[in-house]
Amino acid sequence: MTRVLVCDDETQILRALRVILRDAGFEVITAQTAQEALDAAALQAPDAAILDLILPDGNGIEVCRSIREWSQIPILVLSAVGEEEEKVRALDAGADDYVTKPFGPGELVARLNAALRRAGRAEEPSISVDGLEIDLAGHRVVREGEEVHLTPKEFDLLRVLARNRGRLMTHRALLGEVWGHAYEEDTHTLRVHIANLRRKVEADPQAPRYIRTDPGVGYRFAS
Amino acid sequence: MVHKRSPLIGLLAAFLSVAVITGAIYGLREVVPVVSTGVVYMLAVLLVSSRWGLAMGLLTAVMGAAAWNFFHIPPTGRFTIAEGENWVALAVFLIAAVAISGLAGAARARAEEAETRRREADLTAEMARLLLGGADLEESLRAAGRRVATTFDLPSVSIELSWTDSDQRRRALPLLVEGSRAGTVMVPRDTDPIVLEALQDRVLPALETLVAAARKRDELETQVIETKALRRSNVVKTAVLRSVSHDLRSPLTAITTAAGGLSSETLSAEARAELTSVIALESTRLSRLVDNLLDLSKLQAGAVEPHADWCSVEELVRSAVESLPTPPGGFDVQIDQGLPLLRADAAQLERAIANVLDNAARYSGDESVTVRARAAPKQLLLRIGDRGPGIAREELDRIFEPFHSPGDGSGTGLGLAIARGFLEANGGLIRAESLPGQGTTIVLTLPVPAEQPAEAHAQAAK
Repeated sequence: MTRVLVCDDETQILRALRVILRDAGFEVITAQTAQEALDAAALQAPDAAILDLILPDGNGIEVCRSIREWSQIPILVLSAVGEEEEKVRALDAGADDYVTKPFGPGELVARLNAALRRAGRAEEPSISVDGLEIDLAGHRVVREGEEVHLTPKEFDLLRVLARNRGRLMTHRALLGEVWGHAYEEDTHTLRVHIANLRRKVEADPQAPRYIRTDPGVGYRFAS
Repeated sequence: MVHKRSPLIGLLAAFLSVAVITGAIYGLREVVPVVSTGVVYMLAVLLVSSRWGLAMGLLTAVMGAAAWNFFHIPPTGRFTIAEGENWVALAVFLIAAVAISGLAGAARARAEEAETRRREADLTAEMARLLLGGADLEESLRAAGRRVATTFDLPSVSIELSWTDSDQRRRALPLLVEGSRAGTVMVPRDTDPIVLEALQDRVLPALETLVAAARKRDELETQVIETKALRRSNVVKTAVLRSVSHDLRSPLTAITTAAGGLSSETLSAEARAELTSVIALESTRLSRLVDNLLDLSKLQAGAVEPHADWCSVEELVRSAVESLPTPPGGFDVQIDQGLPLLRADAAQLERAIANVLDNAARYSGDESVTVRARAAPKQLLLRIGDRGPGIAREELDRIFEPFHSPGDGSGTGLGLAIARGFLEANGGLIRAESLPGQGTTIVLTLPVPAEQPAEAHAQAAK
């Protein structure tokens, strides 16, 4: 059974989440503080973690960072409107995705399952998504049977997005992986390359099917 | 400021010095020719003219010439001169004496002028210090007025920021700032014209500049204070928004999540009951929060009107305890017997007490919340203590401010502010005592009316 660590300082939210996640087939362990979450993550080996951003003794960002030092389990953060900055920082600190409060249980379970699927994926030589074939080894991209010519940077960007498909990649994370850490603030460059990439791979760049925007946070490749 | 040296004393000094020198020359005549002794009178001329001015110097010169002639130049005892060379000596003496008088008198006048200017400069510097350094302009102006009076030897000088007209005793000198009349300097009506001129030519312009600068400074200070207040109110507003949105969102999230979960068909009856209880608990919490917000806005708008009636603290505490969920450690209530009755709005006091209890329960962990009530002279003390982490000294007063919460997201930040509001509306007081690490005690002080209702008191005593 998949074991999920849930950390939130609100007892009642924790109770509701425990019931819902159990019903969805997960084994649930709970924590109410950052320290409890870190202890539980170390001792009870969860397969995934759901963390509230604001905790009495710290915040979800620090917990993310600590877990990431030794574990690659999928991490979802619970954020609220008005916590955009913290949300982006949590994603940069290694969280895989976020869910905005108040959320429906269906959405949370779907995001959790998507994150778990992604984590279970092996390294793949090529990716095929809904009519788009990306040959990672051969550096070739084919859309609806036609080869698409990408510049090396465009290909790198597409590869990073596609290998993390379904996962929200922050501007910072994309810039760091494709251009290097010195360019992490250069969101304009990223925006230009995303626009070029969309023109080449999307049927309708105005209504992108593959590369979705999460305003103010980053991009997500459809899974 | 100009110390007039009395002419009478000058005259006396002239006479005395001439007399002394005349006497001394009797001795000198033994060793020097008479013609040479006249120069000694120059001492008298120099002394008098340097202190009493040119006119008195000239007078001394004439007196000296006459005395020299009468007592020493042959033939003595008469104002006649026998030898021609003595005439020449007397004439030379007179011319030299006049010249010395003139020089000494001019030097004296210059020294006096310099002294006057120095005093005026001191006055201006002092006024600048008073007006620009002082906190309150009116107060500084009063001090500056006293300083002007001292400098010019006037019985009283007042500087006012209003328009005042001359009256029988005082003359009004207008104070102009940036072309318009900004105030009045009142001096005694019989002020010496020379002093008046000095005031108008030199003191008033300086005063006008200083008042203008002081007013500008006050204006800027007000602006700074307003800007700071505005910034602070913005900070408070942001804190309020954050706090309210967090406090509203937490129960809403729990309710939405639990309600969403209820739609699952695979849910066991037990799980369903748990979700339902989450919804019920969080709805109560939400409704309490809304009540608190309404209470607070009423309190802040001053719209709380206590309906005072007799009530007993024991009943208030009991119903406050009953209105709250029981904390893990429970409430440990000990109320002294025969406590006097209070005259207050029972509903409001109950809410105040409940809020304090609720707050204590939140920090008490598994320990019990203690409630103690006892009588003190003219008042009743209710102490509510928890065994929580305690509060730092500098935070003790701030915990009663609205939306102040310890930052761990656990408190609404409203309960204690409302408790204080209701308590104060009913004539009571609230304060916090705490030793960090050893818990916090909130002390409620309630006024006890001197006259207790006979029947009710008898009932309470039963």
